[in-house]
Amino acid sequence: MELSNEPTFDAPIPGQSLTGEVGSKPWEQPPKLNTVDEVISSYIPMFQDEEFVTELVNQMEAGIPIIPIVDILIKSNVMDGEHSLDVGLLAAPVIIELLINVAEASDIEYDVGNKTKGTTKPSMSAIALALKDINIPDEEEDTEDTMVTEVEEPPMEQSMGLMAKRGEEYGV
Amino acid sequence: MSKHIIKMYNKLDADINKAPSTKSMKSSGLIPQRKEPDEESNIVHYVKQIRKMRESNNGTK
Repeated sequence: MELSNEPTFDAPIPGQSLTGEVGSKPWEQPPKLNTVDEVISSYIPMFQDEEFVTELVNQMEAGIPIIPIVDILIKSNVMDGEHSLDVGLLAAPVIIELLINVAEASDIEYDVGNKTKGTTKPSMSAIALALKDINIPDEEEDTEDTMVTEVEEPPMEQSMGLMAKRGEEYGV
Repeated sequence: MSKHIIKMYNKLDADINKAPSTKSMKSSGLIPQRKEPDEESNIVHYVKQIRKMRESNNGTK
């Protein structure tokens, strides 16, 4: 994915969320699931969906730790008004364990993401980021070259007329 | 929120891996011993069950 340096104007204006009517957003409504048991039993059927599991396995295989994945899952459900953030947080360890089960069942290497790494081996995502950084200077150099060739000094025009500075008219 | 999840997961992991302590803690005063919240004990139970399931799956492989 190529990131452009141009500013995007599609982003919400600061304070835009406060302009809507109160209760119009799903997360402003009372949550549908209130207990940890209910929340866990709502997550379990997700792991029976083949498409969802394949996507999860791909992400874990790519080197994405399990905890950020769980974080996204919980936050998206909070946004949908399924449960509150605190109940989601309580259910998080169970979802992590379920994801570990999925990873082990599909025989892939996974990272839970709960330990600070003391090893020198970088993760796949870190390698991908480093490669991306290496490619950026080449592009920048190219753009700089083109910028240098394109910029030309405009010819000095002698201003004439009533609005011209004094002395300029006569080349002083 | 990831930080909170990590903290909670590590605490739970430590609790599960810790050797089971003797539960005969009688309250000697008027204030009764505080119980663990039900929600948390539920989670420990769920995590233990899932780990057991995983171990049995790994054993059959």
